[in-house]
Order: sequence, then structure tokens, then C-alpha cells
Amino acid sequence: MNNLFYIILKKDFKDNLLSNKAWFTISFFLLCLIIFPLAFGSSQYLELNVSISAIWISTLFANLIALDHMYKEDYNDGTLLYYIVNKVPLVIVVYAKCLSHWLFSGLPIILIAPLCSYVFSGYSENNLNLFISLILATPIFTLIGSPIAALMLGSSLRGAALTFITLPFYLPIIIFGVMGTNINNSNINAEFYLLLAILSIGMIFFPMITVKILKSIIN
Amino acid sequence: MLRKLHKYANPNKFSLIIMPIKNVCLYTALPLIAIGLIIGLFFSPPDYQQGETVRIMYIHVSSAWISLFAYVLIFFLSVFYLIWKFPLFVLMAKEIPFVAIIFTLITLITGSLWGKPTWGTYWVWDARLTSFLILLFIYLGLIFIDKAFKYNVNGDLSFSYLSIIGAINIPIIKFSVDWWNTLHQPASVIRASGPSINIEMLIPLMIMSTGVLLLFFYLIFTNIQSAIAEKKILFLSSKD
Repeated sequence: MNNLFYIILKKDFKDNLLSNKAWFTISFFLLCLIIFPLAFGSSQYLELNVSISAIWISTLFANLIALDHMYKEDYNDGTLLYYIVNKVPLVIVVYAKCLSHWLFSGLPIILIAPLCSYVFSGYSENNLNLFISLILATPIFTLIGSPIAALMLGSSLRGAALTFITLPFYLPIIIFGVMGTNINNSNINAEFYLLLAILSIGMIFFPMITVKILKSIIN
Repeated sequence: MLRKLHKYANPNKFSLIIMPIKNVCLYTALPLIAIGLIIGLFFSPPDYQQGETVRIMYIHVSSAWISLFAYVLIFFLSVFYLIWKFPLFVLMAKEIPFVAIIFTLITLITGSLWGKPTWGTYWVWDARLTSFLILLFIYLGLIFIDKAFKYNVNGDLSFSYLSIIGAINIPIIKFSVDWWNTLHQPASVIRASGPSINIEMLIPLMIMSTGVLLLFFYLIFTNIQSAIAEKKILFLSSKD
């Protein structure tokens, strides 16, 4: 079981690494971030709130961009069908896909975001909060996105429709994440607990639903 | 017991059966809405805090209930479709978002018109209002996913799974006024310790919401009939 997981994870990792999609996500994040200082039109530091919201918006869109490729290649070249025919448990495949998606669209952003926030606003006090809330929120983005990416397999207009349908489900995470990042809040950290609760429910619930969807769509 | 209902799963029979029900719904809904509006607008007492603006409530609350009820209906129809695989269920579920989105828009617009004199703003980003706006976007997404799969069987499955995922939003909307400190007032009719609303306001509200519910059923039955007819025409034209 573990062995199978590592094999599939390694394959996904290699596919992502070799096909430029990994670098596309993180460079899209940086490009999206650069727009904000330019759009404000001043060469000074941005305000702290603005830089935090810029980072969250860029994270959201980088995740959405990467979501389209989550199951698409494996569906198109028949790898998913191959897994089903050979009785590979789809749960393992889905967890491996989610993990590799997070490794390429979540982890680099988490590491680079505090630096970006410092460069943009000149403050570093809330960097720890930003780091923690991004660590909690980006896996939730991936987990919510995975059943919807599976739903859109085989539809004619996938990219735009996927973005449109997924966005409303991301909004609560954005709300709690931004609330958790603001240090002006009282120090109860209620938002982190809430995000952690959503993450621990979603870790079970969303891959389960994804397996159901993949099975019924491929058959 | 359930087997007796199986013959109505035939779309042809179903559309014949809902014909009289549809008319009954329409001809009871219109007088009920008229009576409810007249009592609500002219005979019910003004609120001691909100004054005359409380009369918007009779439209706002009833359409808000309908838009939540419509989602619950979509959810159960999708679950039934995934369990029993009767295509009629998903055919019905797919027609609901078009109607429900109108009621959601009415709720949001009347609510913001009421908010200007009472709260001082048209819109605040509090939990109830934001979650209701998300409901509007989920309805749009449901319509969109239906259109994206126009010529594919997977569309039915995708629609029902998406509606099941989106159902997480419904309890959030219902309990948002209890869980967070919102500007929107807490529930005063459907709650554990009985309604706290004045009986003179409750009566027109109940008449109004019954009327709107029947109107909603009339609209979705009409939509379902036309969808069945459309399916028939598509099938006939694909035969040659």
C-alpha cells in the first residue's frame, strides 16, 4: 500500500517536474503579485493590508491555474483507466495527486510569501501568522479543488468553467485566512482552529468524494 | 409501497400528472400572494424599531426561504438520482436553479433596499449576507456545469455531485446568525423555542410564503414539462 503510494507519487512528481507546469504555477504567482504595486501606481511600500490581500489573491489564482492539470493528462492518455482496470485503489491515486499538486502549487508559495510580504510592505511582524494561515489554507484549496477538477473531466469548456465553479467554494477559506493573518485581531487565534477543523474534515471527505466521482465518470 | 410510485418515474406519465397540479398551484398562489401583500402592506402593524420599512420583510423572508428550500430540494433529488438512477430526478433537479436564482436575487435586492434606511448601508460583508451571495454563485455554477456538458452523459453525474458538495453552504447560511455576531438579526420564526415574532406579522408572512412556495412549484413544474418536451424532440430528431 505504502509502496504503491510512493510509486504513484514519484510518477506524478516526475511528470510535473519535467513538463514545466511546476514552474508555471510559481511564476504565475510572482507575476500576479507584481501587478499590485504597479496597479497602485506608486514606488513606495504598499500598506500591510494591501500586501496581505495581494498575496492571498495570487495564491488563489495560482492554485486555480494548476487545478486544471490535476487529472487532465492522466484522463486523456488513459492512465486513470489503466489504474481502474488493474484494480489499483483509487484512494491512493487521489491522495498522491493531491499531495503532488500541493507540493508544486502550495509549498513554494508558503515558503516565498513571507518574503514577498516583507518586500512589499516593509513590515515583518505578521509574517508568522501569514505563514501559519497559508500552511493551513493551501492544502484546503487543493482538497476542495480535487473533486471539482474530477467533475469537469470530459466537458467541452473546461478551464473557464472550472475557475468559475471552484471560486465560490474557496471564499470561506479566504475569509478565515485573511482574518487569521491580521495581527490587529485579538490573540485568540480562533481562525486557525477553524481552518484546522476544515482541513481535518476535508482530508477525509473530499478525497472520498473524488474517488466516487472518478469511478462513475470513467466507467 | 414505493413500487406503486415507480410508474410515475416515466417522464411521459409524470408530465401528464403534474398538469392539473401545476394549474392548482398557480390559481391558489396568485390569490394567496395578493391577500398576503394586502394584509402585509396595509393592515399589519409597523415595527417599534424599524417602523414602516419592516413591510419589505414579507417579500424578503419568504423569497429567502424559497431559495434555501430550492437548494435542499436539488440536494435530495441529486442524492436520489445517485442512489436509484432514475433520470427523472436529475431532470427535475436541473430545472430548479433557473427559478431559484431569481428568488435569490430578489432576496439580495430587497435586503439591500431594506438595509439602507435601517443599517445605513446597502451592503455589509457579514456572515449571513456573504454566505447568501455564495449561494447565488453556487446556483450560477450549477447552471454553468449543466451547460458545459450539453452533449455528454457525464453532465448528470457532475451536476448531482456538485450540488452535493455545495450543500455544505446551506447549514452555514441557516446558522450564520447564531455562530457569528452579525448585523443581520437572528432567526425569529423557525427556532427551537417557538416564534418570537408578533402574531399579527406572522399571519401575513405565512400567507405570503405559502403563496410564493406554490408559485415556485408552478414555475418548476412548467420548466420540467418543457424540459421533457425538449428531450423528446432531441430524441426524435436524432433518430434519422
